Amino acid sequence: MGLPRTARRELVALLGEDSVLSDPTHRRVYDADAYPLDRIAPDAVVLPRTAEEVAAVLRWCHANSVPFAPRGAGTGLAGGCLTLDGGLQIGLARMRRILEIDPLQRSARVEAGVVNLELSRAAAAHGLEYAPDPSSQAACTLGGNFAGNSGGPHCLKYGVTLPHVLGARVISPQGEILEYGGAHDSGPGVDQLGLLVGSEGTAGLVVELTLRLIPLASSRRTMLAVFDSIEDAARSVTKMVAGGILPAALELIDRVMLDALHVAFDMQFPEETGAVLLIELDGAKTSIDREAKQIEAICAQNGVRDLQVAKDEAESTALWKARKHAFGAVGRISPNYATQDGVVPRAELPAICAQIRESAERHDLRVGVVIHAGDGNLHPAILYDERDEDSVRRALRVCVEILDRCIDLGGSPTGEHGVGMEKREFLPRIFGPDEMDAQAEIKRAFDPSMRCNPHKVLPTGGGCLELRVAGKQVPM
Amino acid sequence: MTPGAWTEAFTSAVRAALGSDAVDSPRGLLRPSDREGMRRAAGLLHEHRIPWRPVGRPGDLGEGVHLSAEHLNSVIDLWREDLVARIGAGCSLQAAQRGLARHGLRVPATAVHPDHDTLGLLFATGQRGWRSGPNRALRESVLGLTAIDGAARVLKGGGRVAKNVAGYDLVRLHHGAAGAFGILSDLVVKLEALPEAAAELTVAGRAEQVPEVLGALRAPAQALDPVAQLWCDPGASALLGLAPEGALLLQVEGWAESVDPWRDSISKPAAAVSIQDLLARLEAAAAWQGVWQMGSRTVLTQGAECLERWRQRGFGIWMSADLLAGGATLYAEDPRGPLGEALADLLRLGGRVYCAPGRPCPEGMRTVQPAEVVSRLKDAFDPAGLLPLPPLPLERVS
Repeated sequence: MGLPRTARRELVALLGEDSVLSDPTHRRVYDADAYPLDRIAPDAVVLPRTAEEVAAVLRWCHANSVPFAPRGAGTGLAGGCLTLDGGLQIGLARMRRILEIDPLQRSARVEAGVVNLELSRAAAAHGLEYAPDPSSQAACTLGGNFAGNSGGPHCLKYGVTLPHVLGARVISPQGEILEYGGAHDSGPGVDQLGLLVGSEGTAGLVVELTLRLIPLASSRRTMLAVFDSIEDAARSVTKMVAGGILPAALELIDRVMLDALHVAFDMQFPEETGAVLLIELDGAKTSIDREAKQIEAICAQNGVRDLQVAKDEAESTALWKARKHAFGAVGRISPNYATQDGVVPRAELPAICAQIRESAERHDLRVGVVIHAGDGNLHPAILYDERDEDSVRRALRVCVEILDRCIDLGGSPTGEHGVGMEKREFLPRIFGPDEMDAQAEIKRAFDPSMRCNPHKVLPTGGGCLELRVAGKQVPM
Repeated sequence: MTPGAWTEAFTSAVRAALGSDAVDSPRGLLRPSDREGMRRAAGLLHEHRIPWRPVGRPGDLGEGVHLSAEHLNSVIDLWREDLVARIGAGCSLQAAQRGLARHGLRVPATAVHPDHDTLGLLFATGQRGWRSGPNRALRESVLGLTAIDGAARVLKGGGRVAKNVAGYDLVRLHHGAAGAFGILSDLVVKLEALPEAAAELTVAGRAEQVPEVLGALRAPAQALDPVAQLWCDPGASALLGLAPEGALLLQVEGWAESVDPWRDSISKPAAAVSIQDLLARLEAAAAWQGVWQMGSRTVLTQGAECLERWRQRGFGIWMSADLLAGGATLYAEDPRGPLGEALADLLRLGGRVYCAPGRPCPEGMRTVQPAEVVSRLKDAFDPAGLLPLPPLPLERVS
């Protein structure tokens, strides 16, 4: 759909000239997020600076029956900010003030466009940090994290975004400013805040958050275990957690990713290395000493080739470098790659790793994988060449096979990236018709006019993982 | 629509569908033996338009018809290596913990009456227990659930993995809603390993001293952060025989080599306690219990005058004292008189006040009408309006 003829004039009257982008060049900049397989330019982009401006825009959309989609930093991996029906894209990145850090309360009040890492940097001055740390934390916004219930390496111990959100100011699809929660944990009453977290901006637009901060760990220890096979590494993970050890992070990186790191950053690993496991312990030093010993024993029982322990912060940073730079390195070994996001029960990690390898071989593609292993949350990177349609098609098949297998193993097709437009058709694989109806009823309760980020999350009847690059549809 | 009533025809229908053992006509109680029985019972209640209330384990039932999950009371599946279990919603917390302890595991939840409070009740009423911080309450630990809604649909939400953002969250829909959208049949819960060692202590402390006392306790404690940090005001302290100026209740857990030095380092000013026993005593001593939510700090820093006034009038509170805020409960020895005034104090301090289930609305207060979103959810999941309203905050009658 197009916008009303008077749209630009009216939106400029609400927000000012520099907050409304409607020419094709500007709109093109906003035609995609980090989901590489689809591009759709919005009819216009607005960049409000305050909650009141967002509310005014949504009231305008409501009055003019214009659909809209929110956008944070555009780091989403499921096409969640694309305007599939046309309409407005509402960029919240200008709302980037940290309004308050309360060390006594261990909480922070922030605008939705604040970048995740900036909050932890600011909180560090008070001996605190914000625990959820998506890999894109240097760029992604806290509003986007709220919409996606984002995770990250350190969510194994501290949980994903939901338990860290104490309150939120949300603009309803009709343009009302609503307050949910507060400066306290949830309690009795319908958990509307819990329903909004992870609703992918389809139930309202979050503009301000009250977030829990946690004390910075007094001690940390980083270890890197080198294994001949990813299965050995995965089994070690299961044994650790089942044995009562809960590291702050447990990250698994496979051989393909290590090859990319070698090419990109000259990182060296023994030739026989099948996978490395990055382990971070935090807490009381006596606890860390005890757990480190147990971990050494478990790794030894599972055939560890080498176990390095960082002696100081610099060495820890060096060990983390492999994890932090893994996806950035992939670009050096493939023209394109699609990052997937699936989850399996932790004990099924060896099974899903076998599936990834088998699918990759059968479709003659390379697939690297990084796994938040403690949570069973895997991120395969399927390497393909966008210029070769058959390569694209095979890459999509690998994606579908991996996610289908995640579901079959008792897991989920998305652990932290969200459904967006990418994975809508997977939901009926998990939920029955009544449950799909129930989910649609939740959406309608918040958004009766169904114009708030429409056609996301719920299936539309297409195929799993469709591809449209620059308007070109590639059928599976 | 006129609600139906429990008739002979209904009795016959439920006996035929569920068996005689599952029907307790005099008490208005249906006790199906499994999820399918629960679905049939909800279907018949819907068909006969009989208002009903979900219960975990029936105690003193009030008026009306109750559908009980009491027979869904066991650990159904245990995925030991994944630290995940599917547990019947009618299983008491204590029974679940006993069953799981054999495997060195537990549900990360606490309750004042774990022998009676079922997992379904704790989740549906949004109770966080007394441990503080993320991932120490059922809200964060329930990964999936199965519920039967007001139209007798069996709805599964979530799954059995810790990270899962597939679709709208049917799990969260039921949290805190007190059965407004249906009855829970089973919950999939993320477990944790039993700690090797634990210690519970109480230390005297006035409201304004709490941050300082907590800071001092953390310093020599090898950075062990207590998993429970509660503060009882002078009123609650007096009821429990604790320090008259107020008392901190602390719990730490972990490996023995961390916990034992912590306990030794503060053993002098502190006394060993059982937090659960203390809170149970406090509840037994009080005639009225409400749930009040607000930032703890607000009370500690701005509520001194109120605390003193409440103490003089026979009220006590216990609250999360980790300065992260959290639920707090106001206890009154006498529900009449100035209770409404005390609740007004809480509202003025920025809190929200709820009546505990089954408690009368205090004088001078009324419930806030449900928000539009809640009304629409109610229409969707309870189209005949047979289930109770969710807990609604109180406001003063002007």
